Amino acid sequence: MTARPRSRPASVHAARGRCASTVAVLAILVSVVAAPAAADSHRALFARANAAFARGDYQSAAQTYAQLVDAGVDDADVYYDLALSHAKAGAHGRAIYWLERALIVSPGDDAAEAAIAASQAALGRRRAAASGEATVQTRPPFREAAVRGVHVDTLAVLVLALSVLFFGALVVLRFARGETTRLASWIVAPLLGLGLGVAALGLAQKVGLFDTGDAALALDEDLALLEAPDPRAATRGLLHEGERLRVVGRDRGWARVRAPGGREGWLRDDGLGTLRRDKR
Amino acid sequence: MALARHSRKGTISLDFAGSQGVRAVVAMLAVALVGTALFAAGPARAQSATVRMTANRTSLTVGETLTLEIRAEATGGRVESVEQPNLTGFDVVSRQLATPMSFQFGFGGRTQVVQSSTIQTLTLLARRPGRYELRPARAVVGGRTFESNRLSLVVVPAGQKPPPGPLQGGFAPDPADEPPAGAEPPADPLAPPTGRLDGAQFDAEAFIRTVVDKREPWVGEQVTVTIYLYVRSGIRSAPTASREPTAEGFWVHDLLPPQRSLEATEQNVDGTPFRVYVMRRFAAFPLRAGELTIGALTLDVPTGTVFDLFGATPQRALRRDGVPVAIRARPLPDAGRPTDEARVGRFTVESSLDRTQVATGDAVTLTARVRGTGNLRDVRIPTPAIDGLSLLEPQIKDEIEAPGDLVGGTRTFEWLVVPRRPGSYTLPPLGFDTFDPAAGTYGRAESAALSLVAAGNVVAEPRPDDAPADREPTEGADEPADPAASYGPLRTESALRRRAPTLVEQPWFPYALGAPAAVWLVVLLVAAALRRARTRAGASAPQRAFRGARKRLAKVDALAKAGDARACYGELSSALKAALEARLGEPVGGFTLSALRGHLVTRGMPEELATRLVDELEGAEFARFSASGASPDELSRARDRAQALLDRIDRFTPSPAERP
Repeated sequence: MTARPRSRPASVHAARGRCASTVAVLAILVSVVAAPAAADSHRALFARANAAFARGDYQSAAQTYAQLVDAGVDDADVYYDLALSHAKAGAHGRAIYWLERALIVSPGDDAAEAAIAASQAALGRRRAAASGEATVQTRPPFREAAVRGVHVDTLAVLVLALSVLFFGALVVLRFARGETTRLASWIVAPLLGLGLGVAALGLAQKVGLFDTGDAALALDEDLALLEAPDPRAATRGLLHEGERLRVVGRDRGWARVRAPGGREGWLRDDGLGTLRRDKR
Repeated sequence: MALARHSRKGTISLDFAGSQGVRAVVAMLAVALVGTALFAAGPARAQSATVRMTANRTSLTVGETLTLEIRAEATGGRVESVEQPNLTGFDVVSRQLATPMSFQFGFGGRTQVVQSSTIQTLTLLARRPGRYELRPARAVVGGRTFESNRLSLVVVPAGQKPPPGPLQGGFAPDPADEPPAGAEPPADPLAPPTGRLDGAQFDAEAFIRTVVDKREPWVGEQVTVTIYLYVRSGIRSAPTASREPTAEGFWVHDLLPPQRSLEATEQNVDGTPFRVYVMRRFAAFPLRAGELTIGALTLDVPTGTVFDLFGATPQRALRRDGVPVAIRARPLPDAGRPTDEARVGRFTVESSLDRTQVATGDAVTLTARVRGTGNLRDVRIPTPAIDGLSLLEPQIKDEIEAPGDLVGGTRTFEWLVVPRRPGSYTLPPLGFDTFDPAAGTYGRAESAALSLVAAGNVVAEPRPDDAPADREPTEGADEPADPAASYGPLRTESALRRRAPTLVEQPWFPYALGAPAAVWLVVLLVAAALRRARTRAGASAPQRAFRGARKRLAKVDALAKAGDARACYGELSSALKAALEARLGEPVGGFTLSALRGHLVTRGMPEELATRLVDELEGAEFARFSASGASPDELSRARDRAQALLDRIDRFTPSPAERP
C-alpha cells in the first residue's frame, strides 16, 4: 500500500502566508528601530571616547574609538581622533596607520597629512636618538602619490564619463557625414581617449591593480621578519615602526610581507596594519 | 619617493628624488581630473551649519505685519528640519519655504551633500502689544541641532508710533553710513566713482584704475579695494593678468565670485567715453600700522570685437600697468586702550553648554559663537582656566561671508570640558576686547556666564607624560615633550559614517565600465550587417526577377490543363519578357519585336537566339489573340520551347548598355 501525497488545505497556505508577512513586518520594524539605536550607541561611544581623551586617558580613548571602528564606523574624523590618541600615547606607527585610513576615506585632508608628517618626524627623531641616524620614508611611492589626493569614487566616475564620451565620439566619427562634425570628432576622440587612459591608469593604481598584495604598515618598532610562519623560525631582519610593506600572502595569523629593499619574510598579523577598507 | 634623514644632532636632509616627477604627474592628473573634481567630490567633510533669523522690522503696531526669515545653511550635510520659534502674539499670515543651492552627489549607498539651504519666510501679523523675545530657531543637520540668534520684537498698541528699531539678526548697516533721509538710493557699488581720476595714469586708449574706499584706515579695519579697467573700444575676451596686485601687510578676502561675466559700464573721462570693467574687488585688512601699498595690476587686454576676426582691423593685445596705491594704516588710539589686544570690528559673543549637568569624567561641549563684521579670523578667545575643570584646546570653525561687501560672519569655538571634581561651577563670560572703527572707541564683546553642575567621584588628573611604560625615553633624545602637539585639535564632531561600498566595489561597475565599448561594438556590427544586407539585396535583384519568370512559366502547366490557352500564352510571353528584363537590367516593354531583336543583338545576344526569342514572342502573341483554341500538346510544346529559351537567357551575359 502506497501513501499518496495529500494536497495541503488552503487554510494551511493562508496561515503560512500570514506568518511570513508577520515575520517580514517584524524584520522591517526591528531594522527601523535598530538603526537609530545603533546611531545612538555610536554617538554615546564617540562621546565616551572624547571624554576619555579629554581626561588624558589616551589608551581608553583609543580603545573606545577602535570599538566604533569594529562596529562598522568608517569615518575620517574617528580615524583622526584614534590616530591622535595613539600619537598622544607615543604609538606613532599606529597613529600613521589610522591617519592613512582617514586619507583613504577622505583624501586631501590637510590636517591628516600634516599629522602624518609630524608622527614620521617623531619616529625619525626617536630612531635617530637610539641608533645615531635614521631614514624615514616621508612620502609614498611615485605612483601612489600621483592619485593620493583623489577619491576612488572620483576616479571611477571620471573613467565612466570619459568612457561614454570617448566611445560616443567614435560612433559619431563612424556615422557623421558633415565635414565639421568629422573634424571635431577627429580632434576630440584622441583627447578623450588620452584622458580615459590616464584616468583608467589612476583608477587601476588606486584599487591596487599594479601592486602585489595590500599595502600595510608596521605598527611597532623592531618587528622580527621571520623566515617561516613560526615563532621559532630564523629572523631575516627587523622592521621599523611605520615602515611601509606589501602583504603578499597570509597563513593562519601570519602575513608574508615584502619590505622596502626587497626583504621578504613572515610577520604576525597583529603587528601589521593593512591599508584596505574593511568589507562589511 | 622622498626620504627624510634624521641624525642625533637633529639635522634633517631631504632627498627629493622623484619629487619633480611626482609633481609633473600630479599636475597632469590635476588637469585631467579637474572637470570631475566638481562633479564627484570626495566624501563630504564634517557637517556644519549656520542658522540666522532676521526680520525686516523689529518694532511695529498691532495690526501691522512683519517678514521673518529663518535661513539655515549647511555644509557637508542636509538641512533635515527647521523649527521656528514660539510666535505667541502673532498670526502667521503666510509661509514660504525655499531650498535653493542644493548640490548633492550620490555614490553607491552614500549621498554626499556639498551644500544645502532652507529658507523659511513667514509673514507675521501682530495681534497683541508687548515685547517679544523670540527664542532661537533650530535646524537639524546630520542629527545635530544648530541654533540661530535670538530676536526681540516690540509691538505697540494701535494708534501709537512704534519706536525706531534696528534690523536684527543680520549685519546691521552702520547708522553713520546710512544715507540721509530723502537721499537717492545708493548707486551700483561696483560702479566706478566719478570726480577726480585718482589711482590711475590716464591713457586715451586704455588704463587701469585702483580705487580704495579708505586711505587712512585703522589697523584691522576693512578697506575695500576695487580695480577697474577703462577701455575706449570693446574687448574681445577677458583680459589676462600678467601680474596680480600685491597686498603685503594685509589680510585679504576676495569679494567677487569666482565665476562671473564681465559687464561694462560707461563713464566719461575728460569728455572721452570709456567702457569700464571691474577686474578685482577685495577687502584688505591692514595687519600693521604705517605705510602699506596695494600693488599694481598688470593686464593684457585683447581689444576690438570678435567680428574683427573677419575684417581688416588688426587684432591687438594692449598691456597696461595699474598704479600702486598707498594706504596709511593708523595704529589704534591709546586713549582707553585695554590691556589685552583689541579686535577691530563689531562683534557679539554667545556661549552655550550642550548639557548643564554632567557626571565627573564625562565631557560637555562649551560653544562660543562670535558673530559680526570685521576680520573674524583674527578673533581669539582664550581658553578659560577653571579649577576642577579640564578644557581642551578649542576646535575653531569659520564661516566668512561678505553681504554688502562687508566682511564678517561667524567664528565658532568649541571646547571639550571635563569636570574632575563634583560641584557647581560657574563658567566665566567668554569674550575679548574690541575696537569699533566707525566710532573710534574700545569696547568688549562678551557672552553671559554659564553654570555647570558636576556629580560623581573625583577623577585623577592626567599624567604629564602619557607615554606607555614600555617606551622609555632614550638618552640624548631631543624629542619634544608632546610630539602630538603638532596635530590639529581633537575632532569632537563626526557624522560617524558607516562603511559604504565604493563605486568600484559595486557589482554593476564592471558592466557599466564595459557597456560603452560593448555598445560601440554592437553599433559597428549592426552597421556592417545592414551594409552587407543592402549590398546583397542590390546584387540579387536580377536573380529574384529571373526566379519570378520561372514561376510564371510554371503556371503555364496549370493553365494548359485548365484549357485556358489565352492566359497560357500570356504567361509564357510575360515570363520570357521578365527573364529578358532581369538579364538586361532594363525594361523591354517599349520595344517593338523587330526593335527588340536588334537591341538584343546590340547587347551581345547571338542572332540565332535573338531570332528564336522574337519568333516565340511573336507566336505567343499571335496564338493569344487567335480565335481558335490550342491543343494541350501544342501548349506543352510551347512551354518546353519557352523553358529552353529561359535556360539560354539565364546563361547569356549581356554587354553593358550604352549610356544615352
